[in-house]
Amino acid sequence: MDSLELIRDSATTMHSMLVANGVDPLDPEAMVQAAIQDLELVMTFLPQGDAGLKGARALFDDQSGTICCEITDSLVVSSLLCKRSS
Amino acid sequence: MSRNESTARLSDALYELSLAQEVPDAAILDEFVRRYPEHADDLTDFAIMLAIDSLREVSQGDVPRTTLAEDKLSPAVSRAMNRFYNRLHAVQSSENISVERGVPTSEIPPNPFATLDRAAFRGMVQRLNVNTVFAIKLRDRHIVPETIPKRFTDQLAQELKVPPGVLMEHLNVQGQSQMQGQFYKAADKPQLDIKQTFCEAVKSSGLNDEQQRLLLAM
Repeated sequence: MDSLELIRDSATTMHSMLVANGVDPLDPEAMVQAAIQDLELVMTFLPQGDAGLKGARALFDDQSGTICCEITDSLVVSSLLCKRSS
Repeated sequence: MSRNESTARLSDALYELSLAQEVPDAAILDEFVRRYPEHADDLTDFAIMLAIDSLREVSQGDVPRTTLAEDKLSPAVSRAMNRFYNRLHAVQSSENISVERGVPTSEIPPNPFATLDRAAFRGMVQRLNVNTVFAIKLRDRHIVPETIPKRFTDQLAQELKVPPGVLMEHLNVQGQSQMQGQFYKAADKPQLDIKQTFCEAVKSSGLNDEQQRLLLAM
């Protein structure tokens, strides 16, 4: 079994559940927001290079359930960063 | 099974074990040793390593011991579990002896944030009237301790239920705190040594105007 299979399965299940609940799968921001709400997480955008990002473009902190994401000009890039860090 | 297949199977087993439970106990180890009997030793070593890591965070805590029917255990599983408990007992005993003798178990003081679960962490954040990002910066020592108002550190120490001295000791440790459970999307290695003043952290953490005003007035 591929080591990433569990993560892929989990993401696929959530994707299907959100789409079934009416979230537009072609709207990445809506998908991310819905997933964050479902997982009871917090998302915050921080300036590039902020100490809270620890040199990353995005990070997920498990203890607080927080996604910190770099501020970018592109909504799509921001959504992808959030998606990949969560 | 080829050597490559065996290595891949071991890698998968270790990965699954790490995801199965935050701190592995005998029951979960038993399950994995039954599923991957050829990797019993590696799985046991890995479970011991995870359990010892958790002991460093909660040095006084008891590791949950699961009761399993002895007659249901194969010799391999019994050996694995005996090793697991013996090693845990040895580590716990040595740490307890060190504490009784007043010998520090480590050069690094305990992280007073480490015992908080998500609900407790968020509760603390709410009562301090800050946000999680600001609290993470405090926890991970990204804020220069000398710039934090004493009134705030006193409140924080009260929330963490530790004496202010213990909190300051944590905040003053050289080097950054690396909490478990942080996942990065980055082009390079994480930079854990970025520092901000209290004022900079207040202004850059996404706090609302009222929160910023109250913190800066301290």
